Amino acid sequence: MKTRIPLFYALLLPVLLASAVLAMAIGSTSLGWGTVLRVVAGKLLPAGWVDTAHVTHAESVIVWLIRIPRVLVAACVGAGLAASGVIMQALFRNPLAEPSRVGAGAGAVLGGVIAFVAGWSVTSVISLPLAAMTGALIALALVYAMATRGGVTPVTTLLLAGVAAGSLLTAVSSLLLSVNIVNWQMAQDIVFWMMGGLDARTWTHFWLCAPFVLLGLVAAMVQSRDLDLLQQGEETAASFGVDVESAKRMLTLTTAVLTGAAVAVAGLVGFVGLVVPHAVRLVLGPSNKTLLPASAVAGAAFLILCDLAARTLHQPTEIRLGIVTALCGGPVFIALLIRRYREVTTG
Amino acid sequence: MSILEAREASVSRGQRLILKRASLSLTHGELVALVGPNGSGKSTLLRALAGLWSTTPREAVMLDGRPIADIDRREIARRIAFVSQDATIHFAFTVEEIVRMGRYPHRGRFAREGGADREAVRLAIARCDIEHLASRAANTLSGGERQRVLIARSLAVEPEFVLLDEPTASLDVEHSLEVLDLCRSLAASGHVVVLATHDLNAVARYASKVVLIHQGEIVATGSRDEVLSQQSLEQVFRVRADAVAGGDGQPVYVFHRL
Repeated sequence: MKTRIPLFYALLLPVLLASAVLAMAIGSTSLGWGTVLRVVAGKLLPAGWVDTAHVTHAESVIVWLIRIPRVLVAACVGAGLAASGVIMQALFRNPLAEPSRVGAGAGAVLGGVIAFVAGWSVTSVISLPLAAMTGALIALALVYAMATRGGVTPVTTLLLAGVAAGSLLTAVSSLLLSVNIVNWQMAQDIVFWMMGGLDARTWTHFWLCAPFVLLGLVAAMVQSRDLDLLQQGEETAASFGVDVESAKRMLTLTTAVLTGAAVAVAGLVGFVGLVVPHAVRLVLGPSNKTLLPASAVAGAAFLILCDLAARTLHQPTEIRLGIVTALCGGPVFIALLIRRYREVTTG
Repeated sequence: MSILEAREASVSRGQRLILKRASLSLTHGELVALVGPNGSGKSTLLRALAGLWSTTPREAVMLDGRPIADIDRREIARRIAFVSQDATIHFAFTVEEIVRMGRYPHRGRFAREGGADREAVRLAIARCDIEHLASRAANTLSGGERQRVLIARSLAVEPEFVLLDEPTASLDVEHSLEVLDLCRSLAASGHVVVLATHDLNAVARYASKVVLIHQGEIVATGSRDEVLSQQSLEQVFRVRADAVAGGDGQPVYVFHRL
């Protein structure tokens, strides 16, 4: 597996780059990739290095203020959700665990809704990601407490607890929305955000999300060996010297930061944390030190492409991003569930 | 020379007292067998000795005279290995990756794998005779192979004490003999090996010391002949045993219900 790592990145990084350029070129106004590169280079390199005389102001605005932020936010959200999925699967010792399946996503949404309703999101932009992270953390702690007994997390209990917590938290979110519907402007903001998607993302969204995703990724990498052992069971981890309780707390916090940061800028986008780690694991194996960064990169590329599909497949309107990811992820989830069921009944 | 001992150690889970004032001292080069019926407290005693479960009083389990409850988790892990009865391996890690996890307590969070780490992993793999499996996915192995992989992971730690909970419970005859031979060779090379097991014939053949547990209490400690007497077998296991001479002159037990 180890020998495949260079090849994996040699194939994936060009895909990531190409999908980014593609996503900047394609849209309601199609631009040539030469124009796209010229705008980007013109902004990033010192003045005079690139000839931008032939680029119109409108083209420059479309690329730099509309499409690039959207692509970058998609990359961050994809990386964050994929890494978050890797951690959850290891923590729950279960390849079906994923932010939107185990209630963390719904928790993050509720946190965000509270930030809207309380008016924090107006007074300070940072309150939205912080509230979403707190919501994800509380939801995760709740689901873990419900689904784990004596260090064992049965798959059915986990999924049921996730569904239960998810429904409950979503109900509270909807309740808060309903009682605030009179405030039409705010309700519209909330609905728009809750539906999930990357339309009208700006540089602000990128800066709100990127530092937290980076922080979460670094924190996850630092804990990758604890994660390997925890994946083999809590007692096993403890017998090899892992401080299980503190490791679990830190990892839960890490995955809450990653999920919260992603949900804060994109709403709830499901299945990314399921599909991407699963595919990468098939190629590179389950060792978390390898799996975490590889899934983050693959998640970034995956979400850029999903978002591209979402806004181009049914022009002039957009399909919601969450629909595209669910269409990709749902079948994978079902296939995993069936295989898991077979293992249990025949093994 | 290190000493791991329990002094009147009690363990309770919930309201139930599942280990009652157990005393036991383990040192250099022994192969100790913990025997007793299901639910007698063998696994509990092992976990208490490994520092995984807390005891009352808190200082009841001591490693070289220090309460194990006061010793850092990683230090305990460097010295005492515990191989659980649950041999499930989650996710398709290769055998080599699984064994390398055994170096966890020796490596700092940011330390790279060093020569000593690689050497310990190589030796552990060789000792358990699993070189040919090194690049296989560990969750596709047979029960016997998996058990050897998990023992190799514990040996990669380079521990002084190796505690195994029912290592032969799910193995066929050949593989369980393999694991028992491995235990004997570990004890011969100076490790303290403690084995919780149901297999009284294996105990008779391999153990240098036998500890008999019944309803949470240690009822006898000593040599095979002292502990596995006709009387204790009847009282504790509720069976009558006929000792038949095996081919090598060692007794083989044949059991009958009372």
